[in-house]
Amino acid sequence: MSALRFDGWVPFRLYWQESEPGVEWLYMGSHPFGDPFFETTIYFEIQTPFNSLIRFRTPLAALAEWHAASPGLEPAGFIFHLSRSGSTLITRMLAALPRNLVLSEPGVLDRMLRSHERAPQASVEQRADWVRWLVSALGQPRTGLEQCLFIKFDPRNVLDFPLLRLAFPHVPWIFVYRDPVEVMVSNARSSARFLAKGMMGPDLPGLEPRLVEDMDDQEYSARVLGMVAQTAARYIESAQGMPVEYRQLPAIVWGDLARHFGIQLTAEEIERLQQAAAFDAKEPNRRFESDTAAKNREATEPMRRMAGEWIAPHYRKLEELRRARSGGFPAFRGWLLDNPQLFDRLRGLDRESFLQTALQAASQAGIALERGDLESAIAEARAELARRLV
Amino acid sequence: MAAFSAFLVTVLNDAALRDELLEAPDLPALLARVPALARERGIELSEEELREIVNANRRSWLERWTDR
Repeated sequence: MSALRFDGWVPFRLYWQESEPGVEWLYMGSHPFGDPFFETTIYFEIQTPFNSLIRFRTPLAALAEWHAASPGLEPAGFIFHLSRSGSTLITRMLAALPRNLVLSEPGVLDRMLRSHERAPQASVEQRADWVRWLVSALGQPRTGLEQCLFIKFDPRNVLDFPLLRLAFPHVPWIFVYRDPVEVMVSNARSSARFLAKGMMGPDLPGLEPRLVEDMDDQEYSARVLGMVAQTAARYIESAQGMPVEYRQLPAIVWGDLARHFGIQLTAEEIERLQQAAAFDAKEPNRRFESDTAAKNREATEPMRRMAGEWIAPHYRKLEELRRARSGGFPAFRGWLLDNPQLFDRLRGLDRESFLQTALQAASQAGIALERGDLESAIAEARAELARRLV
Repeated sequence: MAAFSAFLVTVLNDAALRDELLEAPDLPALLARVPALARERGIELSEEELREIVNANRRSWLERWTDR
């Protein structure tokens, strides 16, 4: 039989026969992945009369053949995150541009990245091939307009970064995170799936299963979140990821993030991104409202303690990396030049008010800036002026 | 099941057949339509068999979180 063609079909689930993976397909035609999450789209698609009956399974060989016949879009960017940190807002904004195909946490890819649990005998090169074939099938253009493929992963997939890097060595990536207390509060309201005990599988360095059983849920969440943040910080240093703090959203998407992903945006596209950012990412019918103050009010003392003990050290490391990459006075100056109103306001202030206003504005914009950065910049500017006058 | 597997491959390779099945307004209409379309292609399938497959698909989807 000649190679099968899967135009319009989507691999939505892995299945296992002993330790051999295969994929299950459903038909979506040219329907886009229009929901905030891949799984939501699949949930609706699987209930159509056609997909209720016509679904089929193939071994991975069929996926490999389809990859050779129709490679799909090459990934243009990967999004990792700490959970509840604004990553869905980023995917919603990117998905607002017809030229982008955005996959938000496809469960089938999460399972494939963790294939070592079911297929420990497979070599890492073999598993990287599996990941490439699956991404290729998921990344088939749907409307015909798409040129760029972006994938947001489940938070736990940052642990699978080496496999993904082997499969896609040159794809730029970001890690999105937020103040640890706010992440803890959000997960206490409704816990992300990867924080349920057992979901992380055996990848819990320093955490014995026996300890986990008796561990308080909040401590467990804080430790896992800390491990995700720590792992991300390590790979940002070694593999050129871009740290993105929640406070930098949404403006960073049409600024540094677009540049990091190599996207040239038109004025019209920036306007579309801004429109998408005005709505709640997970409930797109509601307008976005900041919940930072509410989350801080809700934080209990144990939550703050756990966040401080297990997540905050890694949050600080991420901030340090972000600062080294894009913070300090140069970043502030670049941002200030795009904000003429603030520029005018700062010009009329005395030194102390200037420093305080600038630091507050930088903090609100998510720019890592310290008093010392400003003082050094002022001293340098004065020295330069003195040289010129001489 | 062998007959249904043969039918699946036929659907995959025959876009016109696939589109005809996609036009079914609801599941009962689809289940009523399939046996005749399959027979035209030399495949024998009963509506009862198809209903069992739909149930198995539903069960498999509902149990998706348990099959790590």
